[in-house]
Amino acid sequence: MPTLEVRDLYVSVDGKEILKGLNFAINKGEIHALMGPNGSGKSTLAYTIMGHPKYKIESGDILFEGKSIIEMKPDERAKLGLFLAFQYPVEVPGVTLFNFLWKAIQANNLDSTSPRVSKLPKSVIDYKRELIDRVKNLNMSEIFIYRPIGVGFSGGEKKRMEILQMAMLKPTIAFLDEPDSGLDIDSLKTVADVVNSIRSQDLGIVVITHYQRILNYIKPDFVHIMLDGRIVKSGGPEIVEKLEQEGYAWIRETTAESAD
Amino acid sequence: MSEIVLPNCLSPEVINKLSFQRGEPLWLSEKRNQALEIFDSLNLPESKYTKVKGFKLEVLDPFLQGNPEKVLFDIEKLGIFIVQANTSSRYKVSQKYSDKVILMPLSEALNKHADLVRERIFTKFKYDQNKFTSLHLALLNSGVFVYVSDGVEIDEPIYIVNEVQSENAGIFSHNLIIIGENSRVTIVEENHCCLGDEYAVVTNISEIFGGEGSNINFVSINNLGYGIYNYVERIFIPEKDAKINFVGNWLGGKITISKHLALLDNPGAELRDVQIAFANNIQQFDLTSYAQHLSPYTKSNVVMRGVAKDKARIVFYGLVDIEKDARDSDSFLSEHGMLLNPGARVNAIPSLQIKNANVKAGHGATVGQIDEEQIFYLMTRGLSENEARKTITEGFLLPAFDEIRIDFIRERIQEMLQQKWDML
Repeated sequence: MPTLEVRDLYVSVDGKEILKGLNFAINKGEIHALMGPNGSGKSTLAYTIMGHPKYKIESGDILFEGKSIIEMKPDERAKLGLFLAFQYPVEVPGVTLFNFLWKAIQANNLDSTSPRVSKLPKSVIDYKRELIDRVKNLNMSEIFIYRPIGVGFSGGEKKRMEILQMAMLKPTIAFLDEPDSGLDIDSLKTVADVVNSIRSQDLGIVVITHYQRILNYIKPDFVHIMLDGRIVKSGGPEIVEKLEQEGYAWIRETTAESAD
Repeated sequence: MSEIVLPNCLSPEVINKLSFQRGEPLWLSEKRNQALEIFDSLNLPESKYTKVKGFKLEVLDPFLQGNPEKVLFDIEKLGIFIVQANTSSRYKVSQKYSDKVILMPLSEALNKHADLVRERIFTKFKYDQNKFTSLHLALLNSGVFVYVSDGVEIDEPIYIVNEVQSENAGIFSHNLIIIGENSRVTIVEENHCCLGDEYAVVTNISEIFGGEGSNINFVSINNLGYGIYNYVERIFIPEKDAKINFVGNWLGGKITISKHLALLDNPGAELRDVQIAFANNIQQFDLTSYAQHLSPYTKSNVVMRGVAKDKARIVFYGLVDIEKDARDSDSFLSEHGMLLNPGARVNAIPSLQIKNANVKAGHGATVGQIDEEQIFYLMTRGLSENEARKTITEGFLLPAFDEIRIDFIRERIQEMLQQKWDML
């Protein structure tokens, strides 16, 4: 049984169908790359898995450890161990990252039955120690955590803020939605180093990206190509190289052939 | 002469009795009667957005005593305080400050410090504006006198607690606050209530004089019961280079009408006016901040922020006048509202009149529903929807109190906001 399984999923946003029969599965410990051109539905999949109210499931199912989660609220899914590092994290004025993340950890700690929760800090002192440690690993200044969420952060700082939260919340399956966009090569390496450092048998990661660049640093076990709301090709890392050489046109041709 | 029909609580006999009980000077008694005479000809302080419905004069009792020993707040740890419970009061000024600070009920000061009071009181307040202002003066039965000598710096707050303890209480509080030259003080005023949603009427009018070069921090906490009609005026009169820094929250009351007026008539005079409102149910807050720049180099900074839920209404009127003579003045006005559901309403109405080209004046106003994307974001980290909404609301309101440097006061305000949220 995969840790997370998406079965024949159809999703619409504001009446427009975006996902059209998507199938996908990931296990803990694996890294998957989800690639595809703009508008192919990569972010929609991530938002739908997290339960965004605007993303309406028309049919199909999402299973976490064999149980359907599509009736669950976003916070319940988070507590199961699902995480999304947003491509464009929001700004929340007046709410410091430090206070917010502690609230989030406390909320997660309420569910003491889950094994991942045992790894979360239990006291504010342990929390602060771990947080500052991880902030340093991300080459961020400590003052970041006392600033309001996202407010006045550069694009790169926002990406790191997301990775920081992932590291702290210790999810079971994490979607990283274009963690590379807008990053210079040094920031990209820093983000990749941190992701690699928290790679473990307890964590499955889905890296959503247009470009193969980040995949030079975060090596995927599996690669999937999305086109028009479906995964049209899956395979090993070799797909990335082929994609780099031939572009998405190659995928379009091969899928057109198979459709014939 | 037409016959004016007044309810029992507002008759010449009642006024004479009040005056007599309080041992007042004759001039005040005369003023009360003048206010009484015009009551009938005045209107309620209503506006396009705010109607005063359900206001009943007949049932009000302006004589109700209270128990100032028994307030909902542990105040004994403080060095300078006054507690007013209904019309009763007690106060303390610790030895350390007794030659620097005068704090006592206004009724006592009218006798003990007659000249100091007489010189300033009612000089800026106009009792003939509306029914509440005339009622305020006619039935004046509460209020404090604060006087701080020149060159005094006090670390501790001067703490004023006003508590409504009885249904149908009519409490008409006039405060006269005079701060000497180059003095620095913090005044905290707490208005609360041990009632649920029982009816009562409270007026609270303050004339605040800041001596040359003085620095006044004024914190106001409003947590009255949900049945209370509350009329508030604060008139700020800073002398040359005096700074007044007001921070207030509005949480309680059924209908609150508040007017702040800053008379910036001396160079270097400055007001910062921060007002935060959090309204739910059918609460109404009608809040005005009016800065009049009358002299050069004056400064005003007005921040009004409100969150409304259910069918609550908040109106912010931010008015700035910069007169011809007020060159090199600087003003900024910001009014922001957040709605927690579609039935709630915040109106932000800025108005600037600038008659001198050589000034700085800015303003910003926004009102919008709470951001669904922010809610989603916080929920994806494990916060429940309620926690997410609470966190966003606190983030919208609480930073306004960061500049309160006395920790326990800031924490008290934060706690009250949280309590109000948890009550919803």
